[in-house]
Amino acid sequence: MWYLVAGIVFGLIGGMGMGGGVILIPILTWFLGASQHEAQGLNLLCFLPMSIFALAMHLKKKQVNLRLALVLALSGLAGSLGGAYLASIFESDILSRLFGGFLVGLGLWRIYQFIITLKKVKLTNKKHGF
Amino acid sequence: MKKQSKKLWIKIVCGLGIGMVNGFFGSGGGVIAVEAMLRLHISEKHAHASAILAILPLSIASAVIYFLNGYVPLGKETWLLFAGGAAGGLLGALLLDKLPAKWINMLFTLLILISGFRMLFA
Repeated sequence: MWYLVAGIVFGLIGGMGMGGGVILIPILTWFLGASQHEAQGLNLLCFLPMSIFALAMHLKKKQVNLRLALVLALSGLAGSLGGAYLASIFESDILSRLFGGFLVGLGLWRIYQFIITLKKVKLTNKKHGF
Repeated sequence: MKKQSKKLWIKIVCGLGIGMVNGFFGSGGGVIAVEAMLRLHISEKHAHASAILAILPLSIASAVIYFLNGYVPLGKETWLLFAGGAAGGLLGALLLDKLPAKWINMLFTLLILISGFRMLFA
């Protein structure tokens, strides 16, 4: 049952294009007892149906920049194969710590961005959509 | 002409980096893709939606490697996650322009900081 709930939360955030996996992986390792590798594999797999549904909706709303997405996707393929191979070399324990570091970095970066945006809004005194 | 090709290079390097992260961490590529797109002057809504398309082929490629390495358990739990993810994905895309993005953003940031520190020092 909790898997269904975790899936919905993941889908909601992921469907908004905000990184559902970044949330799903800690849920899986923390509450549902998956290893770091399993959580990452599950996330990749679960991203597929979720993204197809979300993408169909976004395409309908014409919110997708096809050209840029395709350039990033094509050039990213090599990187994703390399990255996945690299992950298989690491122990789950170490990978988990690295992932934690990645999350902390990401969180701090977002706070930094948020502060910058706030300053900008103050400066221009214009609504900035954040 | 020269400027355009330079821009293409930037995109290719971005794509490579996004792919690396997405493959290595099994996630996170989308978050970086959104950041990269915002810097390439794509609007916020378009960036979020386009990131999903950019990541989809990368995730398929990485998922195949993970699967071959035996990191993808296929049980009842997996299908529940699958179903929940699909339903949530549809809902999230529907609601992207209706939910209070600012609050969700803050909650999201808080959540990744907490789980990040926990994983880093566990």
